[in-house]
Amino acid sequence: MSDRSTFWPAPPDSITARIEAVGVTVTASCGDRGVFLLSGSSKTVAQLVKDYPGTLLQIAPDRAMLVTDAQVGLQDGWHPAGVAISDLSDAHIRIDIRGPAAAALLALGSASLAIDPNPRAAAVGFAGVTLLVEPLPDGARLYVERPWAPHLWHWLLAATQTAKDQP
Amino acid sequence: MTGPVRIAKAGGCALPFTFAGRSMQGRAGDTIASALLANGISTVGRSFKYRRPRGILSAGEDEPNAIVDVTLNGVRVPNVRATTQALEAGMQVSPVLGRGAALLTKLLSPFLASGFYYKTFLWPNWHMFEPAIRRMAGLGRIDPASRMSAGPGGNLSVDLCVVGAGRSGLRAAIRGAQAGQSVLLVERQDVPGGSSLWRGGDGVAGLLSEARAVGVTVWTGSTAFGAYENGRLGVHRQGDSVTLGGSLWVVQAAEVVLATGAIERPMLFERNDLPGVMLADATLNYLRRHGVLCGARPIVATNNDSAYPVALALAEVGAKVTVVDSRPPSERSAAAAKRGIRVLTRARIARALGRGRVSGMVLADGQRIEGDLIAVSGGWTPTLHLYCQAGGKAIWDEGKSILVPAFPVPGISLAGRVAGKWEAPDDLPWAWSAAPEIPGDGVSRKVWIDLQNDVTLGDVELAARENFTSIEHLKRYTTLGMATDQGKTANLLGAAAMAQATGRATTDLGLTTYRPPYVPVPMAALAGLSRGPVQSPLRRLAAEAAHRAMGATLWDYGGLLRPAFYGADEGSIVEECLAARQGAVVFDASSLGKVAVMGPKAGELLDFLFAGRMSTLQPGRIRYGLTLNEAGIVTDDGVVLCLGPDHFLVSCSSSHVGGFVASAEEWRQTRFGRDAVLIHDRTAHWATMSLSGPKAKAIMAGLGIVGTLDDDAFPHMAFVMGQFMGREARVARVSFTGERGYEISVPAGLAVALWPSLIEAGAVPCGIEALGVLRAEKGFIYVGQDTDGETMPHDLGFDAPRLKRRMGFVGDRALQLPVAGDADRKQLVGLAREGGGVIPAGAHLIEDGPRRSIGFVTSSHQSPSLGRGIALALIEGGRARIGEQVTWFDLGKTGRATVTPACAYDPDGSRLHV
Amino acid sequence: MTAARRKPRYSALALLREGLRGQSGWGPAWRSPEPKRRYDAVIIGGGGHGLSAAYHLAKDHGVTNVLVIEKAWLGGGNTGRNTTIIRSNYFNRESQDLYDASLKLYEGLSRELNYNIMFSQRGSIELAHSAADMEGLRRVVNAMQVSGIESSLLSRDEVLAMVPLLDPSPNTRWPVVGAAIQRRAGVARHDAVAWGYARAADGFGVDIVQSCAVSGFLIQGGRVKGVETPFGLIEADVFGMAVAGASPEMARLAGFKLPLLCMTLQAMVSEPLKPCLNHVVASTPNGAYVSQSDKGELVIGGGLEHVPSFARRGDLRKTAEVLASVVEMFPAFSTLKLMRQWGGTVDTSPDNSPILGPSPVPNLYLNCGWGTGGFKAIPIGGKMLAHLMATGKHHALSAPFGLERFATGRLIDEAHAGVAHD
Repeated sequence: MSDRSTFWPAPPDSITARIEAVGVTVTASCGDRGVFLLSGSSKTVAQLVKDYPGTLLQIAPDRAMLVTDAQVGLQDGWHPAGVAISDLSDAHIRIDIRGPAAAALLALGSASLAIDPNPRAAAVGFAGVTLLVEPLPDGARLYVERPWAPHLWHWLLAATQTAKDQP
Repeated sequence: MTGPVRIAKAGGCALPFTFAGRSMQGRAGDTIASALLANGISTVGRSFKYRRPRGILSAGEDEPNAIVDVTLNGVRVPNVRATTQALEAGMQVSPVLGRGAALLTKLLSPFLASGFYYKTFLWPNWHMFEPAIRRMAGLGRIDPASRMSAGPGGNLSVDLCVVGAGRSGLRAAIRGAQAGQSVLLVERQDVPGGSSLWRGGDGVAGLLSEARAVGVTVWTGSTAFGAYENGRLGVHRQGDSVTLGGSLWVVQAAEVVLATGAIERPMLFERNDLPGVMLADATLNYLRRHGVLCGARPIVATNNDSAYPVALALAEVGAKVTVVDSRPPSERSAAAAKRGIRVLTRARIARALGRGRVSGMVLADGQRIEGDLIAVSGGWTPTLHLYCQAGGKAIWDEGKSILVPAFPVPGISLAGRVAGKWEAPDDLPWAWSAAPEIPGDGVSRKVWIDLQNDVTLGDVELAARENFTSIEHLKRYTTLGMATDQGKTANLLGAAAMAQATGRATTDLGLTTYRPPYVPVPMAALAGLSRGPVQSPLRRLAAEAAHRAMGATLWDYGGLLRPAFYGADEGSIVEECLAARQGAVVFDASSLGKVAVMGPKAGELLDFLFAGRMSTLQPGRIRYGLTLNEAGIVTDDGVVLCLGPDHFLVSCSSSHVGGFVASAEEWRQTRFGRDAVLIHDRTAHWATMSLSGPKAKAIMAGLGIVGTLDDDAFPHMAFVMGQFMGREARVARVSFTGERGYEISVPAGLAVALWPSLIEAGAVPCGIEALGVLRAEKGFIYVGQDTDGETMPHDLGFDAPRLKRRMGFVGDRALQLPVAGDADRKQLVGLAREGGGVIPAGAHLIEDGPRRSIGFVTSSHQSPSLGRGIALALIEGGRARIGEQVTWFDLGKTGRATVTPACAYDPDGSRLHV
Repeated sequence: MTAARRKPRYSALALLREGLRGQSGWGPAWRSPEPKRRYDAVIIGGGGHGLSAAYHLAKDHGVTNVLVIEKAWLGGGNTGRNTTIIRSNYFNRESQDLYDASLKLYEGLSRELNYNIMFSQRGSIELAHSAADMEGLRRVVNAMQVSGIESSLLSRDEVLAMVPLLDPSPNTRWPVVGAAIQRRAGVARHDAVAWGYARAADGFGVDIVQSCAVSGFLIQGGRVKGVETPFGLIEADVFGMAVAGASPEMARLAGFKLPLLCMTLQAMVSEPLKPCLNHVVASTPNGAYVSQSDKGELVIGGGLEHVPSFARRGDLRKTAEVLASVVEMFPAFSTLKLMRQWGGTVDTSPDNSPILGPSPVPNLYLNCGWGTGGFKAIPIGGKMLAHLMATGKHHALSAPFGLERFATGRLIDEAHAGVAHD
């Protein structure tokens, strides 16, 4: 079998990676956030996170992901209050898709985002992988697990390099 | 002779093209078909079976004959439908079927009725005849070097999707938008307007601007080809050139209105397949849209009123028109006669006349009529395909003489002609629907129903005679309706003919299942973006850039892209193996699962999932375990780390993480309780580098990640927490190589820093190929490679789950079945080839009398450390055979080998502590 | 035994004669009788397996007072919906014995039935895209060779020479590394198989009744005595069921359960082309397989849909996924169009092997669980069901496949039997 490092394109540098296309800009980032997966009743979870500014992405009735800039002293494991916690701060690459054409690009990636761009549950199938969606005023932020991030990036490159003569 | 000719002088710019090698000119706005007609071409190809000449029948997607191959800019596109493909400058157009042995097939045609090939070619066998049949079959020719690209397409969600932008469709779209719905209007043709583009009628321009004004999205050059489950429509949007595949759009519509119109039916008479027989509506289309007069002396043959506007339009441009109406005289026929058209009523065609193309016809009463075009209208078939695909059923309504939906399908409604409604164009009575007329006995059976597949009325009657009388048997036996046009002009005629042949009502016969796509869709468009590395992607390592920088050769491994080896070629695998046993190596183990199981019943769940107790594991300790399915078969192996009494981390194989999480979740939700145990997949957060070898401890000491490396405080199968670059790290003493090993886990963002620091500290980079050798030397398994669909724990040497008769885990009862105790179960053992060489993986072990397989080699390598070949194998009663010789078999070669324990290297495990 | 009412022989001579007589002398391929009140044997299911069973009951066992009941039109279920592949490249000895016996029956079937089923033994090629794939193929090829069934490995160059439309580049999603081939494997005309068996069985006097659904069973003293139909109760001494995707429902009517999962399997064809592909080509890693029919259409299939269904349609995204794999392997296919797409309902068993043998209710015998691989097994499946119904005992070839194996654990795991298995 021959070397596949030519066929599989090298992953971009997630700090500098950027796609500029007509009506849409795609950027990537990672690190510099505390990201915690929380499982428990929504009341218990809300109680736990009330002191941490940030976003709470609801994945399931008993599962949410906290994204915060703050220094969070939450330990991995089971908390007697009734919450299970996992530090996933390094698990995702965040990909922002913004601009007037962002909605169409998001719809191309996900039939469910085409139907509802502001889903109640953050996990959607997108470009063949499952990831988390945080809607933004002019697009969305996607949280993709690191192992899938290079694929997602190359999919976005392919999707934004549309031939002008193909609708 | 005359025939088709362009009469309108003005027009778009000239487009040169070739047809069958001859240079011609069309103009902008032409389809290939209208350009061919404008150049006087009558014969555009040959029929599939009898190689009879074929002319253009229609102007739309119902066309059965005008199928051509087109080459443009070096790209060859087979099977292009000339009636719906826009002409482009430089196209090289060729018919898909030539004459072939037309004379021979003409002579043989009496013997080549439908299904003839089932009744012969039996001796000596089919292979003798097949190559010739295959060469005669097929339409277009594929060019191995041609490629077609496509756009990415998309997904769209709307409240209302209207299919067809004729008057009815435009009105439905406007109504929806006015009611506040988001509306998409999809139109196959290049401009909206539907049949009003050639039949005329006021107000289309106004309706179109109104639609745009109220916010209707209008797509032209777009065909809704399929209605799929959950209210989804597949829409193909054409590209700007024949060499482009266009794109696939999936439209989620809460409501669908089908304004898809109706397709005109031909009439049945002898030699109705002659070039120059065309659908009446199509001749009007060619006249009004392309300025092409299809015949100077047309005979308009009809059984309904819709052909009269056609007759009048042809007469207006100077054609000498004769109308042959099978019905009694009417106001309409009288009005036409008043306009100077010769009208014959109660007149039925017996047969067409002409050699190679129409020169006239003979009526049933013997009258001969001269003409160079027969424009037929035998009635109209509503285009109900999408309604039927969505679960509806089309039935023939005898009273109304039209095809109607049998029952409503939720979410789909019909408008316009497809619903059986056609506004009269004038004040005269308007009877546009008619029943198919099937010629009775005494008329020649050479009457064509499916023009592309050469299925005649005689074939339908033959099918009836042989009892292929259900509509589906008729289709499959005669191939009626199975050509590229999918029977759009043939299916109802075939059903009516079978009904007549068997004395049944057409209604009772029914129609065949309508299958998507409504028109053929380019495969490139369906593939869309899913090409190359974006198709079926692999998971990637966080430190991939570091591996690439070190010159790693990367291979696809079970859904992951991983370094196979470092170094110029596969020879470096040997060096990596030696370094592992003599110095220290590091390999990237980040893809191994890290699944957290937490909560009051975490230990209980793990005891349930694993064939071995995990709840007794102490914090800071690690235990190896196997998971089974309910049949007791090993599904995965891995290690469990205890982080606390209610906090465990399961490190399962890289390729089974999803499977383990799914299984754990299923049992959590159905047996243990959502509040009792929680499952988190932390795999992506951690990168893990595995340092292994006799020098590993010294390297660890230099790195300073953990406080103590003393073996009493930090024994094998234990872990401690530490620090790397200011963040928490976890170091576990586990080993897949059999040497002392430290698995260092850090947050994934630090992977690209950890890897080089280990290299700088003296670890040799080691890829998956070397790892495969090292673990095989130790008899460590890859589940799915060294186990199969019948392997139980005790087959691998893990006797406790069965012998201890423990209950309360998945697979417990299966381990106690008699089959689990069979002496000849396949067991994992090692093999040493006689002479020390390598037995290929995949070789079998055999015994004779009679010869049969008693097992197979699952892993096999040359061992650099042992200087000989080593192998793992599953062999019947393997462990009892240790020390004995067995015969191996590989692709016809055989040899001998000794059965050994699975572990070939350091069976005491002392190397773990070196 | 009633005298066999044989059919007029089909032959080139008969074609000549009838051609001169305007095809007027052909008789019905099978009758459309009304069923009697009682038969010796009733077979539920008029697809390939059911019709083959009826044929074998008459031919092997002299039982001709047989009824085949079909709820729709004969051969219209999975027999008429599959991708027509016939092969016996299986791993386990029991499977090899079963499927290769079927392949051997197919080899002589046209002549035996006096009906050209157009069995084209053009070879089935299974591609490897990695060294690990090649090792897996080697394991199966060796298993077959040890059992005396012809099969061999092909190098990359050999594959590309036989299938020139495959992308030879190493920089494609599915690079060709090599393959395994079974040269005796191939394709046949699926409808003709059903029609050939139907005609031959009818010739023996078997009644085939179509458009007739079984709505219930008469069970007395714990034994099946009759079936309820639109024609009323029909009684018999012994019953067999060969209804594929309808098996769980049929079992429910008889009061038992089957460990089957019914999934949709799609198939699709391109428009007809001049000959461009001379073998069956399959890829287990991506799940797609393709061959070219004698009419010129590319016949393409893929893996199972992900959600159980009886709709026999399939999801558009699955169609797109299969075609994307095919176009990636055969880039010139990007110039082609999809002409028609459909689905069938396949009944998959836990070990991907069929269920042959007595049902839990005496007098009713099972032929089901073939999953995605039923077409190749029509001759042997029917022969086995006939043997069970006629003798009350297993044939040696069917004995390993009884329903009880899911209780004893003596599974015959064929997870690697073919691309369409999950």
